[in-house]
Amino acid sequence: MTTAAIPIQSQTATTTAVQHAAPEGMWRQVLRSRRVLIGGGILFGILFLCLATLPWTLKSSSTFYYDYQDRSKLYQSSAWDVRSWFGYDQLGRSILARCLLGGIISLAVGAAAATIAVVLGVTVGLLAGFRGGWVDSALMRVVDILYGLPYILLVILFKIAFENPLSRLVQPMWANIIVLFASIGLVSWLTMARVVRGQVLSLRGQPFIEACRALGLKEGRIFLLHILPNLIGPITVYATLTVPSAILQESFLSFLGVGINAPLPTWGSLASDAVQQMSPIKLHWWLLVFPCTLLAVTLLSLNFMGDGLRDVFDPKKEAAKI
Amino acid sequence: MLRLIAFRVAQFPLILAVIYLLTFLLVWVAPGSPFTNERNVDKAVLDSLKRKFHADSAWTFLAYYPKNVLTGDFGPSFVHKEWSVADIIRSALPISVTLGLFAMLIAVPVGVGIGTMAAVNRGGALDWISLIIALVGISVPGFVVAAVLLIFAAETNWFPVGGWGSVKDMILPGLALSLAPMAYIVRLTRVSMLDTLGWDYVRTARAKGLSRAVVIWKHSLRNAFLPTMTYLGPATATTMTGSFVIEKVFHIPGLGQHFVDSVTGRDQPLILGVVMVESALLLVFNLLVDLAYGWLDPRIDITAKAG
Amino acid sequence: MGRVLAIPLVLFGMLLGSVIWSGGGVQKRAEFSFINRGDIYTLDLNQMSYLQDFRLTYGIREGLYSPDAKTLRPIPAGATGYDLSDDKKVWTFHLRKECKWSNGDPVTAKDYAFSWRRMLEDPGEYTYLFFYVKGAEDYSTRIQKYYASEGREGPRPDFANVGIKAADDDTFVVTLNDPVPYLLELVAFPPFYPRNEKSMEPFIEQQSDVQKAIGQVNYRGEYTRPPNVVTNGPYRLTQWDFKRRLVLEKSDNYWDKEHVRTKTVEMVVAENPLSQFLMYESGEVDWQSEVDGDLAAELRAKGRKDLRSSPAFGTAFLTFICTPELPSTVAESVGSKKNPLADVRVRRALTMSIDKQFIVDSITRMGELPARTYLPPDGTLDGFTWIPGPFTPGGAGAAQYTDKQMRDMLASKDGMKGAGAGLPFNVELARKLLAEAGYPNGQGFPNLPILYGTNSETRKKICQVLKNQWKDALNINVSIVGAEGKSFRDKVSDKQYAIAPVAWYGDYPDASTFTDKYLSTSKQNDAAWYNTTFDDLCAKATKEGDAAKRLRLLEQAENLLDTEVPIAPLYHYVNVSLSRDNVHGVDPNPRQVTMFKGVWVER
Repeated sequence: MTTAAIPIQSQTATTTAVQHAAPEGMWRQVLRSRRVLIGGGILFGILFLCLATLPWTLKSSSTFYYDYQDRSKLYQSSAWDVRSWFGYDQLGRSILARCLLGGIISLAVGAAAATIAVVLGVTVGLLAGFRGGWVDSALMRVVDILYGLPYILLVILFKIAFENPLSRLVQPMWANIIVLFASIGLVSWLTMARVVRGQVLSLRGQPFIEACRALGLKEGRIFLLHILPNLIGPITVYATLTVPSAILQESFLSFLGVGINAPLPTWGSLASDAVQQMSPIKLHWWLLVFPCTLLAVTLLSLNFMGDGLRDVFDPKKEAAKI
Repeated sequence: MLRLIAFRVAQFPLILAVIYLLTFLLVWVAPGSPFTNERNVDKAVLDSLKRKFHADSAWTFLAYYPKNVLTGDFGPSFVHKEWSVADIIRSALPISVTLGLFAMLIAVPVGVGIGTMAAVNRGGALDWISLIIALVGISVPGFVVAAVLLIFAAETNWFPVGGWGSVKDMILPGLALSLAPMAYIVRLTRVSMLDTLGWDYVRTARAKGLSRAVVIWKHSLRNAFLPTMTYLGPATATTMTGSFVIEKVFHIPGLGQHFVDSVTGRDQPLILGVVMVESALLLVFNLLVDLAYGWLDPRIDITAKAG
Repeated sequence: MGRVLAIPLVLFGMLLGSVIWSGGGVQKRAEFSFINRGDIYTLDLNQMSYLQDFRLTYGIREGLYSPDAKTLRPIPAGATGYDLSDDKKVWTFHLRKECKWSNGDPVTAKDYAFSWRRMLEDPGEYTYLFFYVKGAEDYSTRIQKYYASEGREGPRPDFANVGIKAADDDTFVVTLNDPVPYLLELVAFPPFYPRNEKSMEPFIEQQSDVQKAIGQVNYRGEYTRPPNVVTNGPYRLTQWDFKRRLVLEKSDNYWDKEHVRTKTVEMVVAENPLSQFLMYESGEVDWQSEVDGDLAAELRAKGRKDLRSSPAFGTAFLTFICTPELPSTVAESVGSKKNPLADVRVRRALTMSIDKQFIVDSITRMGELPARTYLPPDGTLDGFTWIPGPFTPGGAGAAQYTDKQMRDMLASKDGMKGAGAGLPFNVELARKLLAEAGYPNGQGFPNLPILYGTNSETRKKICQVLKNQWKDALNINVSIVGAEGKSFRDKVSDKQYAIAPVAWYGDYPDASTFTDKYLSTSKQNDAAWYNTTFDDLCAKATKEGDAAKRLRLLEQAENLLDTEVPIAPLYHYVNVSLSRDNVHGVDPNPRQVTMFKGVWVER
């Protein structure tokens, strides 16, 4: 693939996307993209590993239990038997077991944030794009203002406001998790809203939509048959890109102490605990290296996947829709 | 042009006022008071403190503080009672701004360079390698990068281990801070460069015999840089208001820590002051970016925008 | 390309501009430079409550008496001596005539009266200590009401009724409600230090008309900052860069300046433990006053000679809520109202099944002693002895333990298990007690939340260990709930928790600084433990003039706490610091008082 060829092909791809009612060819192209394959492959590999080991990491009687505190192994470094592969932490817990369960929770955070981002972002974006006028201005000003507010303030406030009332309905552990998911999701939908709105606006102005209207098609059908399919692309791309950012947000919140409740692990909280225990005297490197590597590899794959998808769906997208 | 600038600047006070009110509402809703410590304070003591600081209710606060904001007086900090919010911001802002600018100065040239080379070498080894390096910024949490750099500084003694006073202190924290924006700039540049390189005028230029380097750097870059330009606005503003993590790890007395500490301490005037500063910076930089947009690409007529 | 290149150039130009704006520049290193426990919270005597603030204040201010640099006992400072009336209620202090303020004004009794009066009118955390003075509590409450109601709930109380009088420039008379044998300790404590009223006048907050009419004066906090701050101690505060450093310089107006050896002292602010250690290692600071657990343990394992530790006057413990029904928010999350912790057998079972030795060996790792009692046996409490616990042969009648015996017992291998004060570590007995209380083998025991403040990594780990220990020993489940700093303190003080790890440090060397916390009337009584026997014992002790008899009463009160266990003592704090051999005068001590007057560095 030479430099000159790709842009032309992608130009055609874009125009194809806009003109066809349902771009099935797009998905085939997705599966051919190397970035998507490699990124997706690694991601699903890790996910599978974490899910497959759940019966052990969640069984409280197993030595692989994520909170099994083995007094004989406090702060021990990596060794060759499986449980010791990633070493142990200060309370004698296997870092491997904690990383495996931590992966589920971290990825769940990402998935939840992406879901909220899609639901909220698409709704707002569609409303703004379709209604236009003052609805559009108002909604976009809201998005701008939310961008300007301090994120930490919003998260802490949200947590404080809702965690207690919620723990009356469900167990405190679940309340903590739900509130964490919700608060990260709440700050992740802004970009999606902007992207969707932009896409809707640009599609509405296209001649073929005018043509549809001239032909007498109802607004509803235009939306379902023509606009929505062209939205799926960008939505997928940004949903995929929301996941890594959400996982990083969670690690930042753990560093601040407002993340997930102990003793549940996430990769971010494992990394943050490790950093706080580092010193040049005794560098417990295994506490940091393993969770961070898993985190970095997963996030890299997600970003690769997102980039690959974006290359396929909208290679010309301007930066404003980061 | 001047009319546009004036129009935009005139909007600033309105937007800032709305942000002020919203932040204020959020802060007052949060339970917890800035005046409680480890020990349980007598209710009388608490009330007296609240009264002294005009903080007994939302209304007394609103009645007293906002009107002074116009003169730049945000009131005293509720937590650091000897310091006014203006004093605190005045001491911290220059440091954060310097650090942020330094980080952007690293991120922009390096990011654009890597992104361009990745685009030119599409699919090749350089593309993959450079992307991986750049993506460290968004795949590894900031506190990990900062902590690793700090240990590195401690072990090798080539760099000071934090603090702020001389140019040498800027290097490691600036580097750590630059990684995230660098990653974004790399990806943006790569995508838009790929696109630009496919345009007809590029092929014409090459056909005319201009060298590859000239075509890439002199002609394509200007167009490819536009999306990065748009990103630079908010990116510079947020980087300048400091990264809490970098500042905490390298113990730099910047504004980022105040962002977080003021919230955990429920220091209402400080929260408002810091938010105002960040919003103002954001607005200013967005305006600058829009102006530069028009200057960079004369085809774009920014005055035509609705504003 | 030219236009694109302009962007980085513009950024570079801005960078140069901001570098010039931020000043910067390298600071000349002080003779003695140290890292304090944390950043200064406030230097206003009214609001001061943190240890690091007190530490700095000892360097810049002085009271009637002051802690001696070596022994920490109060020695005459602002006063040369005192006369005590026969009923031991009237103290007449004779002031030292040479004492001057840093601006040259002489220190007079009026300055003491002014400062003490401010403590009553503008209350802070330690205002309650002034209530030993006749009429002080009444004055303070009434003037609060008067100010709050803008003069309607009058009349204005008269300060002449309070037992604080400047008889003349050099005589200061204090009249108390009851004899207070440790008054000298109190006047050596910063809230009792004098202030120069004239120098604070420029900082009076703008008064509204109402305030002028009722005579209400408030001072802006900035009066404590250089260059306007006026102090009377061995050093003057000459520089304060917010969150960066404070610089003290030897004061020429100090009466004892010949004995002040170090000319400049610098306090560097670095809140990250790693940065603190690196600054010490590189020589940028001479003394790191607090070293945290993990680092201390590693350094000790390496045999570092510059690591110094001393027991501290404080105890870490779990607080249990003792109300018959669970607090509303807890009850909702647990699903039932009945509070198992209201039963003393349950509290004893929980306490006796905690392996505290493991906690100090593996989690806190600073060389602390595991605790069986609430009051720490670190030697600060002169003459205090501990009554043996209920599971010790002989019980309460047997010989009481001195603090040296307590320390030896707690340091010994099985010291937690056998005879001693308070409750032992005994899992079988704990199980029996739990069964007696109605939860055999943990059946039916609700899943209580254990609440911790997320700003403490150590407490987080302790909670995780406790969860497992209680599961293994008693087969009960607890869930760990984290609350962010302020929320945590609010929840505990509002009594909306079930179990929480907390701590208490003594403010002055007397047992009452610990026992007062659990009086039924005390606002610090987070456990909501209301015991009339305890209240009676403490009240009798307040009135008791004979020091020995008073101690016996307080010992019995303390024993009640250790056996009824509204709190489960975990360990006694240890203070660990780092200083090289050439630094003198910074040895750690239980109350963590360091007088800079006695510090000097050999170079």
